[in-house]
Amino acid sequence: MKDIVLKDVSKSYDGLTVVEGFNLTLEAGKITCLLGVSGVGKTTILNIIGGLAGSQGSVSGVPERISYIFQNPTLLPNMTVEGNLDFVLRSQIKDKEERKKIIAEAIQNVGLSEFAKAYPYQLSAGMAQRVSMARAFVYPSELILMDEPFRGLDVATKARLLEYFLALWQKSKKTVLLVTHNIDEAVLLSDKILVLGGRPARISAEYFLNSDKFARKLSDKDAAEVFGKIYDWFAAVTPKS
Amino acid sequence: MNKAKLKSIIVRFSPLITVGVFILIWYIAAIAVDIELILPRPALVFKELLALISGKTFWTAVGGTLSRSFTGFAISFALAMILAVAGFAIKPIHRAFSPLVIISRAIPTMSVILLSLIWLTSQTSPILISSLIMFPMFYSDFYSALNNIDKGVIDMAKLYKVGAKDIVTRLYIPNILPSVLDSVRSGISFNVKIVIAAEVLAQTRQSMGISMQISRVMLDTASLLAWTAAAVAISYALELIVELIKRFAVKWRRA
Repeated sequence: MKDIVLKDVSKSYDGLTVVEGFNLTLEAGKITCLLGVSGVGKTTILNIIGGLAGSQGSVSGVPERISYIFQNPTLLPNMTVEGNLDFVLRSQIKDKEERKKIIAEAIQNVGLSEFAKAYPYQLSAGMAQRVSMARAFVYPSELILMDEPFRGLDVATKARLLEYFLALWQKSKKTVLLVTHNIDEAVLLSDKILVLGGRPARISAEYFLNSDKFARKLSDKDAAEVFGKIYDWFAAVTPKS
Repeated sequence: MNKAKLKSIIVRFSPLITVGVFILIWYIAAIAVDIELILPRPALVFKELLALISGKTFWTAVGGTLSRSFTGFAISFALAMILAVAGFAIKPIHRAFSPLVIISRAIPTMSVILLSLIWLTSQTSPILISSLIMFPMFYSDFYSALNNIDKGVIDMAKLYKVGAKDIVTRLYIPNILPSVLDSVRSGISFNVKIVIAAEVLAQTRQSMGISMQISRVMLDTASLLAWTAAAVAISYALELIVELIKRFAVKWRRA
């Protein structure tokens, strides 16, 4: 796995410059978070890395295969949980038996073995997102792009999903870019947090979290300190209405 | 029997109850009118229907009408599907076809029937009429079905580099199937009605339409109603078959 490097990247939509001269390095095997308010350009940067949006400048080190976890689980409604995982794996692993084994394990890893034959309409929002996670990790990619994957979920469901995510990530150590506006998610999951601000978007602050993220809690000293600094920064730069 | 059980029985048998009430009203009206030529009693129509069914002419006429219906239906279905897929994949094709679809939907049915009677034979004109009338309905339904597929799911399939064959067979076809079958179910009986109407006007030999026309000319109202009942039963049976196919093919939908 290689680092992913964005150098002097720019992107405009209809004359509006969203990103200009943007530089970023995603360290291989680490979880990097782009944190910012809605509309700051986080998703644009994610789309540039994923090849979903063209841009000017240089983007290097992006692997051929990328996994995605979005806010909407984007499951095929006509397929069961197993079928949804099989759908993305078919073109990658030709042997049916091998695929079956991998899928069964992936479903077990997100605690949904009992729901392997269930259709998406039979799953809760949290369960559907767990399937989306299982799909991202089962796919033989080196990079996972996550765009607000925990948005709209209640606190308890989110906490469980974060646990599942870390457990899955621990096994694969894929490079992850998490895009979110939630400070708690960023602090609990990331190795590095890049706070985006301004227009065009720029990195306004950078935080490293060196503590063991599998045991990390928001009440831990360093996590609480980073949380507080980011929160205070947002509070300071947000214009008072 | 408790209230809930009674309610469930009523719900279950409500279609039969409706038919029973309809026949009762018909019977009362027939007694009130008391002129067989205007409104024969249900029993007489039923007797006439049994007599029709036992004769070879009935089955020849039904076979002729159904074969014309299915031919017209298949032509419009195939054409609409091909053009809807082409229009969905290449938007200029859809833009080019939209006015044609709007025009063909706006053309009075009777104009289509009369023109086709001038252009074609009595055997083939019902097929053209059926195709021309069904096509815009199918095209709009199929195009909407394709457009209503969740864009997020399509993007997901592309991002995960799923093969084109799997995208078509596992994503597009299953996801448009419910709408396509709904369209087929409502269109199939409408199509039979259109073909029968065309057969009446075209005087198509060996058809339900001409049999109805003969009954009318002979002032045999009981026979005309028996043919009507047969057409209703055939349409209902066709709709039922499509509904059963849908239940079997679309298990993944919320009940």
